[in-house]
Amino acid sequence: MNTDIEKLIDKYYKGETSLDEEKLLRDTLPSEEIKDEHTYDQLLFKTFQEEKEEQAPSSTKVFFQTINKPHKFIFSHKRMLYLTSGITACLIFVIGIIFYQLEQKNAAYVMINGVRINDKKLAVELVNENLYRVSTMIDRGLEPLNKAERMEKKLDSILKISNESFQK
Amino acid sequence: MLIAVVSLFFTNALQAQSAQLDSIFEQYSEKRSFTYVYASGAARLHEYLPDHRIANQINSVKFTKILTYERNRNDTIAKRLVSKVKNVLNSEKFELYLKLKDDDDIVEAYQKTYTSSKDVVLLISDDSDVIIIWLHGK
Repeated sequence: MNTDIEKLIDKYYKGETSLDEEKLLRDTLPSEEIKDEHTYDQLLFKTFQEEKEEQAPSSTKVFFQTINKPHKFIFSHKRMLYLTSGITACLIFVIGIIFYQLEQKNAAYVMINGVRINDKKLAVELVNENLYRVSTMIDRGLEPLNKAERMEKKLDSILKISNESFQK
Repeated sequence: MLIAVVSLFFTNALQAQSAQLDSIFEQYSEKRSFTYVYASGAARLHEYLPDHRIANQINSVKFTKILTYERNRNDTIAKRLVSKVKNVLNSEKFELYLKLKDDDDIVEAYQKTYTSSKDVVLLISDDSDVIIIWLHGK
């Protein structure tokens, strides 16, 4: 047996071998003629060599091949049907919202005693009638204020005229 | 589906308005002795409300809701309605910008501005009716 190999074995058990040296041990020791004291070591490295050479079971290989394979999107009829029906449903939903909004924009109705009357003309008439009523009330309420404003304007013009005549 | 949900969210977000006030209008619209009017689109505000204090508060009206109750039927209901509406207007921080009192006639005008819209609420009370007018626009 090569003395270098013996030295390497010692180094290995001390944990001082490099990866290349371990590879050398794995490759050469199983086939070397060895002393009896190194029978165990030869067996150990033989096992390491065998483990290295052992192939992964086919099922594992298939599994890794499958997960590493780039995903291809296949347009099957079923998938196309799901996709188109999904898009159609979304479109119907969006169009429905738009129509609902438009209808709300043009809607006008009246509810008397909890009974709904879909009469746009009546609704508009009632809106205008109520606004007119409020307007009248506001006009009446603001009349004193308007009078005061008018008086203030008149007073201003009187003061202006008197100032002008005084200057003359 | 995501697009649909997002569009729904945006359409609702654009229609900011008082939900509490809406609930009062909905609730009383179904009761007896109440008249409720809903009209979307522009009300002829500047024609009927020539006073700039009201008409200029809101430009393009998106909808008008009017709730009317004949006071002489039951004064307690009328008072309760006015109190409910005032509570909502206070809690939602509406600004009172006009108040007129002439004998039994009372007109109160409130407003609230949102980011892209505005609410104007007119509370009218006279010896015969209680009228609540809600104008929503910009």
